[in-house]
Amino acid sequence: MKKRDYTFQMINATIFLFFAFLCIYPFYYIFIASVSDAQAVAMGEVLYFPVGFHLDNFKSVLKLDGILMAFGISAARTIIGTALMLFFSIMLAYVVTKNILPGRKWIYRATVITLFFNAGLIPWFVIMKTLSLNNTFWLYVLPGMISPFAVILIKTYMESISTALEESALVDGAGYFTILWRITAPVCLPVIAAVAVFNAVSQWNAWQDNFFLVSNPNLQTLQLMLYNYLQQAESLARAAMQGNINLENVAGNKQLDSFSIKTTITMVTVFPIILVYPFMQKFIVKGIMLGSVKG
Amino acid sequence: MSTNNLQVNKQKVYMAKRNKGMDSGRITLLLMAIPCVIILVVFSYLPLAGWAMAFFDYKPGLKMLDTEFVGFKWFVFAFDDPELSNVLRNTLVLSFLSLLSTPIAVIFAIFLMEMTNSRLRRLIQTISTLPNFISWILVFSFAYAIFAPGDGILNKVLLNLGWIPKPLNPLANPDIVWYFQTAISIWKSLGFGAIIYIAAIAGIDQEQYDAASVDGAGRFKRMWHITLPGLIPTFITLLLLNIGGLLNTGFEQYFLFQNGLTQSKIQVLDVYVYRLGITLNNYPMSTAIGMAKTVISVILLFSANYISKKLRNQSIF
Amino acid sequence: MKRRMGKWSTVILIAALAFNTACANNNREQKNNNAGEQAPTNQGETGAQENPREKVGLSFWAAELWASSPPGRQEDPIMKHIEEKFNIELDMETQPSDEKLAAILATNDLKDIMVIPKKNFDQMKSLVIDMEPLLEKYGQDIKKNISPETISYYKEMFGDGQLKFLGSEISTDGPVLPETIWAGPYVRWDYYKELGYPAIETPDDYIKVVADMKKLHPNNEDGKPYHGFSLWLDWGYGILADHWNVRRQGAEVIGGLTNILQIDRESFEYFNKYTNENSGFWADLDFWNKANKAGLIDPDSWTQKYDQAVQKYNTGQVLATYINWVIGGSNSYLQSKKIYDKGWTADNPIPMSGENYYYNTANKGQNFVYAISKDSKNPERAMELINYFYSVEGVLTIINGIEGQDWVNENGEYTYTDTYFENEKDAENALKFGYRKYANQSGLDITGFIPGTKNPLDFRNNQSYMEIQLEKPENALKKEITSYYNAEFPNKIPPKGQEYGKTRIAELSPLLPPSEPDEIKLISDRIVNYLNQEVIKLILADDFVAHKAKIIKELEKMGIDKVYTFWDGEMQKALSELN
Repeated sequence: MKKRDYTFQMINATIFLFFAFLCIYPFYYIFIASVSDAQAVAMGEVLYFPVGFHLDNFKSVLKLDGILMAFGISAARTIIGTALMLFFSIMLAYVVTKNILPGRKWIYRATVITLFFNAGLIPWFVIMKTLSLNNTFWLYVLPGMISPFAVILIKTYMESISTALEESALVDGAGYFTILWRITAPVCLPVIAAVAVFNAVSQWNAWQDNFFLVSNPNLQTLQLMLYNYLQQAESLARAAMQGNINLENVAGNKQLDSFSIKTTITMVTVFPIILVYPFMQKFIVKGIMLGSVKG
Repeated sequence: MSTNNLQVNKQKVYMAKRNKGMDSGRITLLLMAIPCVIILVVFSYLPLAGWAMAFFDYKPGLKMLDTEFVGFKWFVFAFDDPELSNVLRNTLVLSFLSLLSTPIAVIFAIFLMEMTNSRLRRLIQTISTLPNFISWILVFSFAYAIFAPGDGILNKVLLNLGWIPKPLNPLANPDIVWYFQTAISIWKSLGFGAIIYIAAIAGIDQEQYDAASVDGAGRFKRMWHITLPGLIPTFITLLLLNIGGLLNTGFEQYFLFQNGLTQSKIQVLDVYVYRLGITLNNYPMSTAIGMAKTVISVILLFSANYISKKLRNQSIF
Repeated sequence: MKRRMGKWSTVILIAALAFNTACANNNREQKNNNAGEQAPTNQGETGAQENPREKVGLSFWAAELWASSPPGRQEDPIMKHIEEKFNIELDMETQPSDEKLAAILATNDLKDIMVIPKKNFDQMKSLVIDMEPLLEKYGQDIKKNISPETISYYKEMFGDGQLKFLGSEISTDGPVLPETIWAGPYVRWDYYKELGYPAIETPDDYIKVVADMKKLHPNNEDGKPYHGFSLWLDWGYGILADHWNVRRQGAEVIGGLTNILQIDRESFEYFNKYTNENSGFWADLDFWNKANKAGLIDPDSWTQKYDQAVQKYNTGQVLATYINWVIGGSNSYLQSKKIYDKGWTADNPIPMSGENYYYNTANKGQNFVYAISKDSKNPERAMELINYFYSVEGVLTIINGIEGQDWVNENGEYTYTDTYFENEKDAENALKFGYRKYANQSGLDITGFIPGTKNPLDFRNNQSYMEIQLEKPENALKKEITSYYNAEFPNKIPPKGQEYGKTRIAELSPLLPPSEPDEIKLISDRIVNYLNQEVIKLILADDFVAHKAKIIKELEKMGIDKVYTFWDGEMQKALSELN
């Protein structure tokens, strides 16, 4: 038995390691490209190690006006936005599992189908303006408070766990609100953590609401700043196209920087996620602990 | 005698408490539900008022009611296109292929969780999610760097080894485009999408595994009888949602990978709509298309759900 | 449990702090803006002129800037100079997109000053004011520099009799230099020398020359094999077929999404370029087909995007091109290796037979128009600022920099100062110093003269400037090429015994509609989509003639005649109005 198990572990690990290699090599390449000399990258010389190591790209990004504030805004919207999403979506998922709630079926159906709604840009604009949300921080975090995807997954999960603890708490006189947050939610931690990760990533990467509706320079998100930065580099190339600047006299081959900048942006964006991610993994794992105590 | 009374009393108290609890409970639940419903209505349903735009000859800047009412003109306009059947075919094929690959995420999750070395497992899990964060533009750059006929790495290696006489050009080959794109999709979304299944597995009672081991069940038997059934509800839920979203393939991937030679096979509905939007700059028409997509998605969802109810007695509602 | 709560509260605390700072700054910013608008405080700027006017905030929706910068207040010295001069705070939208425009139109949230593409004027008619009453007091330069005919043209065509929209980039006098066909044979000069400067009169000659070069030099300095040409198709087929042979035939293309009409620059004769077998369109494609058969085209061309193609040029892997700006990258590459005397011709293509150069006649503006929002609180100040962009002083400033600092006027001679030359060396000078950054907002055509003089608006077109440039070591190659052609300056290489042609297209195009009606657009879009696929197959085809005939037949089936009928009608209308 032990020997078979060992073989299985070896084969399993090998296949996964191969897949992991496929996943990490492009990422590793982006990393070394962002710290290598742009010419060398363009010539294809950069494969395993950085060539002409330099941190200029990162320095340029960090020197951007307002970059720290943008970091703060993006972090704030990720945390607050996800927290709000969790609060309301968990609550909705919970009440929809309770039979005694009138109209619960319809509420749930109404939630599910919004996954497929897309009213379009103009109505979205008009609504945000009517609610006076444009150009405020709340624009980033309020619209996503109910995530139909999260509600569906959490509700499904809640229906699969035993209700024994809940019922005894009810008898003891606890209200539904208390029960939800003290008893039910902690048990659903794995799926809540998963849903939180999805939402956090989406909040961290969001930029369109910023692009269209928020012009206040103190509310710019990191993504939009980086997008602007990329546009700047690419507009140099475009200006050359219109014959407006003579690239022959350009020192340093700015044209090549477009790719460098894209790789740098990827690194800057992903790095914080990678830092926070193991933190979230623990929650998913913690679920096992709590799960086994539910009986 | 008295114990009987006591029991009856206790039961009465219990019932009274429960009934009272039910009423005040209902109110609590309502109070909890109402803000959620309001949020839903305000942010998801109110914007639908914009669907009215699809029936007018509206341009931003003009007042909608000042413009001409045109009924279903835009719907006909958008869908009366000989290309459309091609576009729909591409969309459905690619969506279908991606549906077929959803079990891969399940298998991935199951086998990953079977790894006993937890550090390695967590490391691999983190790494597997990395492709999700690479923007499609960079993904295209990679694919190009690897598969390009002139300078691509793959061709260089194969030519060097003498395995092929002429360089291959997979990016320009319309016959393999569907499989090629699906493979890239899988690479990008597998690790991240498996998170939900990993969470579901994490939620399965450890006792069940222990009991099964005691009964002598081997690894694969345990997978089959415990892990898999534990995942099925989540899997079916996601499957139903994916069927509802059959027409939504996402836009960026197919927009970036399209070129003149593969266009007839790779152009999906989202890219087609984007193209029309840019050229025609016609908001009512884009709205009409969006409306049609929503209606079709909801119909698909309900139909798939109906079948699921009949087959497995599992409904998403 | 407690520890977990601890972690969470820390996280939330950090978030709240970050958010709070944001809010606080937000409030501060708001207060500043509000102060600008409400309080009539007389803020004396450092060393500013007497300015009894109150400071106001103006918002500006700009046409694309020549240097992309984040929206909001602009930091370059030129904008600071303008803000100081007019005592305003200018909040600029620097990333105009069609969707953003649609959004602000839908919510009726226009900026004070709007510079928008002509095609959108229709939707905005009821949202902007009539500027004519303001011209008397605030639009003196507009009245001076823009002819009354042009103003009535805009009143009639765009405002139902009112001056709601005023075109920009209107030519006053000029252009200073003739325009060259920028698509043409560009080759590597030292290889061209080796071959003995063979004449390139026809496209076939060009193919031969490039093929010969490739034989002589199969690899570049780094030992990498050369491609003859490297193309990109993500911009559509137009870049391959609408610029070169059309122009040699003395014509331009115009007409909606398909650019269906090939129209002679002077006589205005026109025809359907797709159904006419001898049009420039087919000539170009024939050229590519032959080039491909000669093995000169990079096989990646069909799948790569512009970025990948440019990278190939930037690493010196391509021998030739028909588009000049990519060659700049190849030359930079050589220069990075400190090679200055070898490289590619980049300013002008090698003159071929046919028409190579032409002068634009006066035009009534290009693609954009100015407008002032109805809800503007300061229409007079807005008008003042717009007027500045139509004044000589204004245009000179936004192009060349600040008088006294970047340039000086000595007895009618305009010269750059050393500061300007120093700043110009920076590749990002447009962004940092603002030179030409606002060029697209200029009311006057910047390729022209200062009205009433022989001085160019853009001092880079000065003789003295061009002389200095030519003497620089980086331009050694340019100098060599120029002297080979016995010309004074690179952009004055004379065509072989030919007069510069005149193009009157700019007189005609304002009379044509900016876009097609929706039913025609739909057909055009399908045709464009079809051609994007077929053009590649045509270039790769063995039997060019047969494939070409097939395409023409298919286009007729798709309804190209309807598109032509529409544009034919519009042309007739425009021509009659012209005469």
